[in-house]
Amino acid sequence: MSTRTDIVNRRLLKKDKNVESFWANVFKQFKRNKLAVVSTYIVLAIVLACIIVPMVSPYSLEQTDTANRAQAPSRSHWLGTDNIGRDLFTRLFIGGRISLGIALAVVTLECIIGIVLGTLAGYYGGIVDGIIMRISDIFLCFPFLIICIVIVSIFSSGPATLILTLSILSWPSIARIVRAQILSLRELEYMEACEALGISDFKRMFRHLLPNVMAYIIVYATLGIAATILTETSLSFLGLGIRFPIPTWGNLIQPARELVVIQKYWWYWMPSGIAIFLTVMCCNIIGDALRDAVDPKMKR
Amino acid sequence: MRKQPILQVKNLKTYFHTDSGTVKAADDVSFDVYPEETLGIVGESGCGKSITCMSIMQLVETPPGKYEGGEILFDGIDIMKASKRQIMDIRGNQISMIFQEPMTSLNPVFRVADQIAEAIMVHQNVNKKDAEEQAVDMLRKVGIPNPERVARDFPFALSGGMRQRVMIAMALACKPKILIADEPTTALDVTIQAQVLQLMNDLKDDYQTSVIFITHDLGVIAEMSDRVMVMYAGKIVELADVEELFTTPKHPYTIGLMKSKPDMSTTGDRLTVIQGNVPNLNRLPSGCAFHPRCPYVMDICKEETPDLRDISATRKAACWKVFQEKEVSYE
Repeated sequence: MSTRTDIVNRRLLKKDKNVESFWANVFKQFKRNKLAVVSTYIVLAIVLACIIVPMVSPYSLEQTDTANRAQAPSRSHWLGTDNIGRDLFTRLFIGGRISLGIALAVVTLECIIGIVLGTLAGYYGGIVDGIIMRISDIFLCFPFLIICIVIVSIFSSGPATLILTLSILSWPSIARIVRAQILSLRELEYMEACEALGISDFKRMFRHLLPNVMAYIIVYATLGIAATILTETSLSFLGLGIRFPIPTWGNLIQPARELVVIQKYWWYWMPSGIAIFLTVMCCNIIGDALRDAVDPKMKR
Repeated sequence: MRKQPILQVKNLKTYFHTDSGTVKAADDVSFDVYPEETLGIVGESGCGKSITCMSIMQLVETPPGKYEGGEILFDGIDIMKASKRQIMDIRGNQISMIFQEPMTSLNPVFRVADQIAEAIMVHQNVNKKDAEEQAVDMLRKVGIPNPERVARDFPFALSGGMRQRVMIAMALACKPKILIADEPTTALDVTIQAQVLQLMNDLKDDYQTSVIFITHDLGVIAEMSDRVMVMYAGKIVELADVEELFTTPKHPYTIGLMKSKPDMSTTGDRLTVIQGNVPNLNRLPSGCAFHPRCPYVMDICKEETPDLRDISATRKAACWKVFQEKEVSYE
């Protein structure tokens, strides 16, 4: 008898290896997309460079060197210097720190607001849902650039203002995604089972429902980072975002507003342009791959 | 030898107000549950079995549902008037419930042990590690082979029968006084059904729990219950000890149910059926709701609704014909 159960158990254990958790499966699907894997490495490399380069660079952020103004790339200044002699290689990666940091902060903040409000709206429905969704409609109606201009002209244009503005303007879309998911999930029997076990509303919402929506949130956040980098750079380019002397990828390409710079000083704007392009494209590819990986219908 | 009832339901009225009228899903339902007994509730689909039990747990969604009246006395508390805090404390701890559909009753993103442990931690003051140990113990008690491993599995790795065992483990984890089982075996195949029923019977004795067992399967009722309550169109039509009910059904509806039970000894014939359908609950016929389908219908049945009366020490029925026969036998 015991040998038989042993055999059965062994068989079960063997079968167990084929049983994978949801995230293991997502990871497997994701790895199949080679382009996405390469993109992940590129993004990681950029992030690492942004962390390390400013720490080891011999030049500082604002150290000017009027003797070496507007130098083309050379051995001592890998990406040349700008018109007051600051090392552009260092500034590129400090700019990356700020651009990526802002993008991360905005997405985090917008996800927190969006997830909380979306969950409440989806879970309680009725009047709570009505109020939250109408507020989100109002936010979606705001003309984005005009609001930014107004806010920047009222408050100063520091990183904090920018982060708050962007996240407050963009939470409705994630709130809608979360709400739609919660609406369908809350009708499932395990939620009733939860209620029958005496688990509180708060726990039911944020411990039981939310993890089921997590996959969608992660996809949204990845794509959101790309979108936010673009928004931040365009605002900074227009002078509405972060201002000199703090560099960001957006205001590093600002000199390209002058034709002379485009024609003669390519090293002023091209590196940050490429950095923006690479990061945004890679984030988008990763986001798309994640979306496919979490979609149960895509499983082959 | 009847003990004090552990749960008393008195004149429970749970209605649904819909656009097409008021649906009286549980209409003036009264019954008692005694310690350590199994009370079976039978009836066709849509006769108010589940709503009655969900009312006990206060799980009916309001709106559209509404508790129009009645008392549910449990442990000195009227659940109908209890605060949310009190109800949360009762749910899962004193009264717990097993649902019909084991495939969707577990949260897909948590491991089995986490879910059982959570049920324990909500009601008992234990840390996560102890709760998980208790969870593994519970899995062993419900007859899951290799419980340490299954505890770490996600629900989708388990079969329907295993999941229902997990649900039972979860429901019994806090040693509730009453377990409500809402058609727990309907979604399982027959061999697994028998195992799960056996398991419930064993555990019920171990834990000294009263069970309210909802089903439309008369065979299951006969096997599981001590007393049976037959419901029709939101009302109790007959309540009796299981043997009495099966040997001498009184209410014409019960008689009809017994007759329409498939029987191994008769072959080749069509099954006997009760003519007609369950009436739409928002357009009930006048008088006794069963009268359009009743073979013994009398004039009074069409005009007056019979109330649930004692017809002996152990049984109750709501039928004019039964009342008349009883009077005759007294004279």
